[in-house]
Amino acid sequence: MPRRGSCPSEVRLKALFFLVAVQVGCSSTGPTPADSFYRGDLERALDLAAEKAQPRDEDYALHRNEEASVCLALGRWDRALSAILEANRVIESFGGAQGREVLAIVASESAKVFKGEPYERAMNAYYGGLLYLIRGDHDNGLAGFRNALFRDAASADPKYEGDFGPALYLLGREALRNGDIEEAHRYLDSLRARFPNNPYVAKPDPEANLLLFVDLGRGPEKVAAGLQGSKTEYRIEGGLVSGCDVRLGSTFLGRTARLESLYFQATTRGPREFDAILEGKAIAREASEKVGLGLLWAGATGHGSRDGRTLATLGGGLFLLSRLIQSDVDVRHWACLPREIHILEARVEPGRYEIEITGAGREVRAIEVRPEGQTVVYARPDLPRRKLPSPQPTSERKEP
Amino acid sequence: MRCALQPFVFLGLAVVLWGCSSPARRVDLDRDDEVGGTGLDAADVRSMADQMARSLSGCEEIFREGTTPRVMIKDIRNNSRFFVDKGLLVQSIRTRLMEASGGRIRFLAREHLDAVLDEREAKRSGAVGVTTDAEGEPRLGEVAGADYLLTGILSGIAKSSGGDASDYLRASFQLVDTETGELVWEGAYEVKKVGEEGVVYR
Repeated sequence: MPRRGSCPSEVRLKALFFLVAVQVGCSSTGPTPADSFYRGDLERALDLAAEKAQPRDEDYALHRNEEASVCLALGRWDRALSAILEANRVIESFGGAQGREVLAIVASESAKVFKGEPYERAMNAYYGGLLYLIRGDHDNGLAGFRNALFRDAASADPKYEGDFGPALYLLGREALRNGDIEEAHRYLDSLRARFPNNPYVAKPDPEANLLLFVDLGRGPEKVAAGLQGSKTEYRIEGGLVSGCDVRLGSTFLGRTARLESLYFQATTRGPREFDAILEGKAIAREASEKVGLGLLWAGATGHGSRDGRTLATLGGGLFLLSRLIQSDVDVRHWACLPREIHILEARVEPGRYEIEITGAGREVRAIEVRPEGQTVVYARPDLPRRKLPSPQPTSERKEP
Repeated sequence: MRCALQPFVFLGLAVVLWGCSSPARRVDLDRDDEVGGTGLDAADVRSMADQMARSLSGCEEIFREGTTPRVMIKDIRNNSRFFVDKGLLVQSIRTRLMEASGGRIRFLAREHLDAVLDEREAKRSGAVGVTTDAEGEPRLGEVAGADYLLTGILSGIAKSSGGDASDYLRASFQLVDTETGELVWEGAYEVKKVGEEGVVYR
């Protein structure tokens, strides 16, 4: 006969497991811009990204970056550039959010203002440079590529510092155009070693007046792994991405070649100083969780004795404490990034054309090859599309 | 139980208050803001424009023979790693130069040349009225040419280590005689900034 006020251990156990289930919980997230983006519903993706991008939100730069990705796929260059610059302001800032940084240390890392990993910061700068080139603002275009290299230099392993392919290629190509062979070698030699089969890297043509940059595949997904989710890992879907065939009107221009793998960039970042803090939190969480559950179990099977109740209270307290220690790594990431960046360069007569890029998908864009300077074209052909993107705006400036 | 919960309640309140937003406020344009960053900001643009305006106004050579020199600002080149709004830079410098020179330097608005030519054509064809001088003669003239070109270049050296960044930026400006190609004046504005990321970004 159980005592008054006590309950059978089976009931306690159920209550215990209910408590664990509630504490562990599961958070539900709403639809993300990336989901709509990869379904090909670009307008919906754009609405979602714009809706989520609130200036005082810690994810502001992330959503602005995603907005830029969608705008790039839609060919809305001005809005893409505006979003990139907004995100860039956050990335370039120092301080101003110390409260969030403290929260990121004592609570969850994801409380900090999102600035992205080095490869994401480099992509922000690269896209900014590309968009300025599309506008015909050569200087700011090159500034973006210099910044991309600067951002990529944050890798912990010096071997991978400043090895961001698109920036090396564009700065090397620019040096060749200016006749600075030594400077060109400085940028291109390491890139040639990484991409020996890329003909445009092996021998860039400074006279080429059409540059095509193609984003392919789905970028690396950042996930929490290791003890209590305290380690960062990256996942990618599918196998290697093959290049695309490019036609200008009825003329076959060539095949795109790989210039960068964002999975490579993401996974060569090296360890962070903050990883040690997360590891310490993970050990504390693991220990308090295990000891807490052990004491709870011991208390639950103690048949309501005073010692049993004390153990259960202590165990419950420790278990709740373990729930307060958040050791999960911040898994927010720029999900609309591609897996690979490909290029093609060609000499083309000035004029209006339809450029067709086919491979994993198909994209047709109306372009105008300028009579002077170089014309830069961006494409994301492997997205399922409901509509073809609108043509380039006419607010472009001439390249000096 | 109440005592046990109290620290959590206070901690929660502190976190909520910490996260409260504050209304937008005016700040001094010439001071560094809390957001930081190692690129050019409003204070730099203003200091640069002031410094260049003072220096150029003191260049006696361009005021020789009692003439009013006409200056055209050419594009400012950006060789730094930062995206720069060159239009803003040019406007700031022009405004400051006009203020500092007290009308002793004239600037050419070549960005409006098409509109100027259209208006001249309309005046000469009688489609629109023309201002007259003291003698009642129509005040017509030639489109002014530039005596000097003002050019600029923004360069930088960037370094980073872990979460730290250091940027040295140098904006140099030159005034070139459009007849002789001589460099008649040069001025530079320099700034070096360092920033340190918190441990959560390292």
